[in-house]
Amino acid sequence: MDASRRWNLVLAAIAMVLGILVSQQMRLVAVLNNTTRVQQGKILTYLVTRTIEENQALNRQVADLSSQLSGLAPPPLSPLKRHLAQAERMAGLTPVSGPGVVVKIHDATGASFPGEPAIYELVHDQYVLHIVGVLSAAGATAISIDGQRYVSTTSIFCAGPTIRINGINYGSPYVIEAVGPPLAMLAALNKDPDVQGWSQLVSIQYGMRPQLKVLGYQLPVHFSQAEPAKI
Amino acid sequence: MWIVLVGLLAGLLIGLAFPIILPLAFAQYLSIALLAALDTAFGGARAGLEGRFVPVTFVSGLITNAILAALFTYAGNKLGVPLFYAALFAFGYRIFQNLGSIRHLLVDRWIKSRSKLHQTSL
Repeated sequence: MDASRRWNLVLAAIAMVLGILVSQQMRLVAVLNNTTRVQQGKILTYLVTRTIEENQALNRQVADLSSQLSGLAPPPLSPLKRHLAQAERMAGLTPVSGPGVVVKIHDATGASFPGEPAIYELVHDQYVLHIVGVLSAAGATAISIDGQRYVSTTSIFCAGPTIRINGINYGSPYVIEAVGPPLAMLAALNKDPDVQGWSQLVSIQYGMRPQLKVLGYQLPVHFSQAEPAKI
Repeated sequence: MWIVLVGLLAGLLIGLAFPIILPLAFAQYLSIALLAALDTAFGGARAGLEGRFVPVTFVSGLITNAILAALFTYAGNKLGVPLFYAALFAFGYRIFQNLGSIRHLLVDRWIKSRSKLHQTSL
């Protein structure tokens, strides 16, 4: 074996060692990168776990606080609220329901009497006012005319061919709904001579209802002049 | 010449197939030793092209450069001086210089062969 061949073998051996080292280094770097990724994953896992634990603690806190809240005595506002609700009901601001009477008044539908003036064939504001008065006197606790609740500021007044109720014009027919003792109200209507007389000129029909719903007063309430008096 | 390439290839395959990997602490020293070896390899290639390749010089340079580079890095780590970067810059610079020289030599040789061809064809 001559010198150059021997050297070639030596160089080949060195190249082999270098190759081993190179591939080992590549694998090492891959392991290093992988370790970094694993560490990042561990950090993320830790963060997620910690957030979940924090959430659980906060949920427990919410449950504790809500149980404490339900254990507390009702706030001192409730008597005032009860008074307010009662006042609103008395003022007619809330809808009410109960047994009652419905009265329908319609302009004359039948043939008029001979020589009867045309003005007798129409429903007038005083008819409505009178019927409301009769029902109220018979014990009605909530009255509405065409859905307009009869309250302390309610006006019922003639407005040409219509009647203005609570500032809104309504035409015939007029439907008066009244919650209260039905028999007493029916008796009052039956006994009232004005109602009986008018019912011969215009159509006045009334009847009992076992369950009636009367709406609350819907319009804004203005008490600009009347101020509460000092007691 | 081909036996060297075969040796390199065999080494790569052995290293990849080897069941054990070197400890992670060796990664830095191994990397700088490999850079030194690469520098020596390119230096050897240049010397071969210039016709003044001496195997003993090559082998001794290869081994001592690699070991010294690793030792320097180790010493630097112990002393808190990043000698790793000094070796990195030195070997990197030399590698590119050697590559430039090799390119010059190859281009020169190619031009000469072309002109020779030209003369013979005339």
